[in-house]
Amino acid sequence: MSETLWLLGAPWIAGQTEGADSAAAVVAETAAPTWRVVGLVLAVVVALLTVRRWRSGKRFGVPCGALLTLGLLAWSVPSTAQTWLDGAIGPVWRAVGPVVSHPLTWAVGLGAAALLAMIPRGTRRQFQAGLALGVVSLGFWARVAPGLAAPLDQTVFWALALTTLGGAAMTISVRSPVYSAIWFAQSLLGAAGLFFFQGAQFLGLATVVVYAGAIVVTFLFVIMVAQPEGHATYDRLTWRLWGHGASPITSKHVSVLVGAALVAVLAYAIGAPGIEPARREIAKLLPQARDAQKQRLIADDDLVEVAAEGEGVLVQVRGTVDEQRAEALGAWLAERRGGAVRVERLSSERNVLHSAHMAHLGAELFGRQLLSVELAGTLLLAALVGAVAIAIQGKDIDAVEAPAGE
Amino acid sequence: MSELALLNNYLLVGGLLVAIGMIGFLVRRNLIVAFLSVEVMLQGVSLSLVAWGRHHQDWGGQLMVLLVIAVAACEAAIAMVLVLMLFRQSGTLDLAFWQDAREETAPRYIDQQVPEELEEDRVWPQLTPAGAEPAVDEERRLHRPQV
Repeated sequence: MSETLWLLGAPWIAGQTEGADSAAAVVAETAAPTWRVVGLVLAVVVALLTVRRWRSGKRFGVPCGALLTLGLLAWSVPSTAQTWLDGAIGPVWRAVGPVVSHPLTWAVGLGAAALLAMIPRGTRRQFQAGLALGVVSLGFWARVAPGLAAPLDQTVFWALALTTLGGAAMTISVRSPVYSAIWFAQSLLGAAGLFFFQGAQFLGLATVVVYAGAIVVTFLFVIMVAQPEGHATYDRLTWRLWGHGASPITSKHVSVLVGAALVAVLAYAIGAPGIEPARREIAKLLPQARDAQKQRLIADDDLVEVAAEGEGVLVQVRGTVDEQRAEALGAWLAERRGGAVRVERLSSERNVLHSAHMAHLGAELFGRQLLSVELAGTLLLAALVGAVAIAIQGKDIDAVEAPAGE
Repeated sequence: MSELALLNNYLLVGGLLVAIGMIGFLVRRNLIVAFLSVEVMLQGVSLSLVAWGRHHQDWGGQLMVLLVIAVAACEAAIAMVLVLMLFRQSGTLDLAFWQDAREETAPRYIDQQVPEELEEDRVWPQLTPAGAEPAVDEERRLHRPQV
């Protein structure tokens, strides 16, 4: 779908205003003939299925089918029809094209629509529609997010992220609080997997054991004790903005809008250039840094940080890079870039991906952050005492003491 | 640029989790589900912290997440006790029961258009029957061939 949008908007985004030639050139260079035939065939198949569904009386999924057909047609249609489309909607597209055809807009918009449909609602169909929208929106998110180097890495990361995000979306959507807690446990498992993926092995373990194993179980115990009878009505409703409930805009719409705006700004800011220009520049130069024997001086992943140092630049690399290569890199960068460049090797203590992960984490935790650990322990004790104190407040203390007195 | 791509991906997932948790907290009326949404937000923050820790090669990210887990445990304990106390006084997990604690200018929330529960939703989980006793042969039990 985003391919379609890109095709439709390409001449104006690319800045070319010739019209026919540019559009044809764009179409010719992006969609190979065999793929366009495949697209046409798919469009016909989807159209037939949609018509059949409409005929049989089921309305669900028909708009999606129609949109999919149009999208496939637009993607696969030959260049003459493309140029007509270009001419017809040109001026409008020039204005809104860059925003509408950016996959981020679709990702955030479809995700917001999906959540709106999934949050407690009147019908089950609405929930299923929300799920479908959510799946489509995830496709756009995959387009927005930058790709990792190896395909296996990318697949594993997407599977874990899907588990986490899907679990979280279901947590806020399902009606029964017990199901909510179980979906949250699944989200925690996905998050633990993501921690392992980052190399934070102890955190992955702690998430499963402490969070999913103790906190979620506590939630379930409390639900067991504080159980409402049957399926409660307040689980099927959401808050309304104004008390009398006459307005069609509920707190659901406003909160989803705010959440979508938050995520859109974050995603745009992450992808925007200009955050770390020096670092990007040096990272781009790294693959070319070679010594006299034409060997690469340093791998891309060994670059840790680039900081300003006086008038020049300080480049920090991992401790695994040996001394001579670091110096050679410094000289090469200074010569290539101009200005002072100093390359510093970080001590292996700061290497978060050290193979002796637990030893280093323990040294850091009980060495440098000992005060935090003690404070956290005190906090846990205080919470425990506080919880018991609150629970016991309601009980009759005299009844406990009387038998002991006799 | 795989490290930067990893950072971006994790920040996106963390941000999405925070947004989803925030929406859940603002929308749901059940006390338990509201607290679960807050925990979802904490997970999003944890993911972002770990990603930044790896990016800057600083252990502080992971240490902060350990403290977040500890604090979340304390918070969950106190919150669950409070939920139990509230349930004891009200008999329901509904947040709207306590709406008299709202601001003076805010209007009262009144339930209107309560949707009927659909027939297909009026189901309970089916468990297989357990605890069936095996058939006992009374003759054999009373007149054992061997003692």
